[in-house]
Amino acid sequence: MSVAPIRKILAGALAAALALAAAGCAGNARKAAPAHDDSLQRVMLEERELVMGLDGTFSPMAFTDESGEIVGFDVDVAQEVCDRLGIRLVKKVIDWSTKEDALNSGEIDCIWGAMSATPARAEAMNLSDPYMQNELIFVVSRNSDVRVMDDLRGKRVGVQPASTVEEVLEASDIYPDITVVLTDHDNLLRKLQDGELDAILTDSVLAYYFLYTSEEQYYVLSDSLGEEGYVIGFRKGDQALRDKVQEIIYEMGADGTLGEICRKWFGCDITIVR
Amino acid sequence: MTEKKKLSLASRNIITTTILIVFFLGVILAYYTMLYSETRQRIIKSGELSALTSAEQIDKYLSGGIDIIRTASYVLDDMIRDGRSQKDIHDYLTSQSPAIIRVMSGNTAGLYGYFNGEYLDGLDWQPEEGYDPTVRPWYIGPKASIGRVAVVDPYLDLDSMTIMVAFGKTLCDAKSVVAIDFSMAPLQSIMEGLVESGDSDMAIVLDRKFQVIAHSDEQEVGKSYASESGTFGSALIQGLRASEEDFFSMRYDGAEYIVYTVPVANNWVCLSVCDATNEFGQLETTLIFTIVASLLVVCVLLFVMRHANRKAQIAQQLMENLSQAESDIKEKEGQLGEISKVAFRDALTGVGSKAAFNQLAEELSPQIAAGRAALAVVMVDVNNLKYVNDNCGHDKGDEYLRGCCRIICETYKHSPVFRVGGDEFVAVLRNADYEERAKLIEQLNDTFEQAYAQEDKSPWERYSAAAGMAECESGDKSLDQVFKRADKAMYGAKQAFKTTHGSYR
Repeated sequence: MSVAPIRKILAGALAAALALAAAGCAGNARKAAPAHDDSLQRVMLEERELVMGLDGTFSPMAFTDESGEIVGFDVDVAQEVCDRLGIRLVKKVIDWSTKEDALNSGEIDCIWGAMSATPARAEAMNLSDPYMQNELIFVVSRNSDVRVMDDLRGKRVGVQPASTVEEVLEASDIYPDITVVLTDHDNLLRKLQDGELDAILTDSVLAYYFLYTSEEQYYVLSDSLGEEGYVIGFRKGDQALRDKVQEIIYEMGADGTLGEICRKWFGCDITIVR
Repeated sequence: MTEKKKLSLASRNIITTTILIVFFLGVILAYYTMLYSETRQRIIKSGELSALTSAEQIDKYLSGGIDIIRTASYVLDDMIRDGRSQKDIHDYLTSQSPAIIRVMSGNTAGLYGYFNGEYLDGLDWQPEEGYDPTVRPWYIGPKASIGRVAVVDPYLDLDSMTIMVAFGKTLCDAKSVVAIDFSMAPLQSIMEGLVESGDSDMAIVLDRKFQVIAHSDEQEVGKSYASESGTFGSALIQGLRASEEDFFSMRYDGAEYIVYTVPVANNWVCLSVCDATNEFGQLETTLIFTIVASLLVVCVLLFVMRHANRKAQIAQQLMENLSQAESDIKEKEGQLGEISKVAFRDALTGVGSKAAFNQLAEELSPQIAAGRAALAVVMVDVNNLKYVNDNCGHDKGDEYLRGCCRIICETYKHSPVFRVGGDEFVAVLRNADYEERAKLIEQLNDTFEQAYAQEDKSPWERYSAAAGMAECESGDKSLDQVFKRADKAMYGAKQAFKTTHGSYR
């Protein structure tokens, strides 16, 4: 009896068995973190500050108040995150239509200010989990005869440029029959009052402020164009930074800080952080 | 067997054993991994089924509420835009509420709300003095979620001890809110039923803040898992947050759970929790049993192999012993041959010994007796050996004997010569030598005489012998008879020599 062939067979079978076992384990492997992700170190140790990019007109999420200071729900949350990280918060007003460029050029560390999640943004950025739900609503002036969406055909609808609102409207049934007017968020309401616009399509969260602070009575249509989640956008490779911020937001959700900040701006907690 | 061979055999055994054991363990572990994931898949599937079924029921219940609010808000929106009176609005609420209560199987108390700055109730519930609707959760919640039916954080109704959830929506003016309360008791029943039917070990509905809306264990209802720590609930939340799939595994308090999650309306989530400890525990027991069993098998196998090996070793040993014995025998035979050679050869002269002569005599006897032997025996007796021995030493005596023998052998080239006594040689002549016998004995005598005549030489070189020859005659029975006649003839010659030359010189 020769031992060598048997040994070969055994070795082969062993290799097969181990390969099988390895294959079984491989299924459980988590996706690997990207190599050389020093985003958290960079922000925490080198720069010791987080630069948030925002529009500056999105009340009450992130906007410039009468005294010229940038305030809002998002700003407060970002401030709390930075406080917990022990770093400085830098609020930087950016051109909303080129926000991705500002992020990728390193001008800002994140886009944080009433940004809705879309598949395209999820592709281009590293998004946080949604922290607030937002409805896309039509607002008309007091004397408007528009009651439902169909009444908008042949009318002028104002939207914020480079926003998801514009995209959603384009995809809607009424789009071919309406005139879309791109206007900065701040000017939408003025144009609606002036009669330049018949309706505006906006984020319900952003509408909140002017609907409740304005002397003027506006009407919200019963129809809406669906809901979106607000997220924070980080650079694709900055997984560590994104995860850390997300972790702190979870903590803030659990310890009630997030609800408290939300109540300050909305009167109640409408965050959806779990 | 050498030490080296033993060692290599031992290491070979160890390698084989190790490979065998690793192989068995590998196969078992691979099998276990397969079995584990299969069991896990099965549990997930069953969890998925039960969670989906219950989620469907929950959705149905909740969407019933959402639809009611949505329908009411469309009507109320128009009423507000049309500038209808508060009474008209109130009438609408009171007319709708009883129908809604019936549709929702009594799990609600009808529509109510805040309209144009006034609280109106479909069942005419009168709020107490100082009641400010604008600070109530059912008002603030929808206000912050314009355009959407808001689900206000659940609260525990102390009268009915059930979780109540308010659904509300702002109306077109963004300041009026229509709302309705729903009891979550039906959800509670769904969760309890799920566990009772055995489809799940634990069924939970959590709202978007991880507050427990319904739980198969009633005690858990109303708890906020997000604010707990170290509890089963907080472990559940951790798993939920970390998982990117609709299911996840978690460990808590030494037990293993598999949780299947299904989103339901309002960003709620329905969880079906399966305690997999038993199933995995059984699997582990099986694994341990299998490992032990296969190790046993390996041990038995090794024992058998060892046993077979030892048998083979013994057989090999026996074979080696046999060949050793064979070579021993050969050697012995060789030695014996050598011994017989020695016995049949005269050590001094190299001619045949007395024994050899006897053997020859025996061999020839039948021929002689049959009268068919044509042979002659020449008896040669060396003269003066005693003199040479005594006067020149035994060495010279030996040399003298060898010289005499040489002369005999050279004379009878074709005949065997034997030394049969100290100074006696015998040649047995046949064939050619026999034919020439007369001439040859004369030549022998001449040679000795000439040798002896050389008086200038040393005594041991002056070879001398007396020879007598006898022929085999009819009537002879043995060689011995011929030998005796030759001896006699030799004796005659000896006497003649002594007469001529004296005893010695």
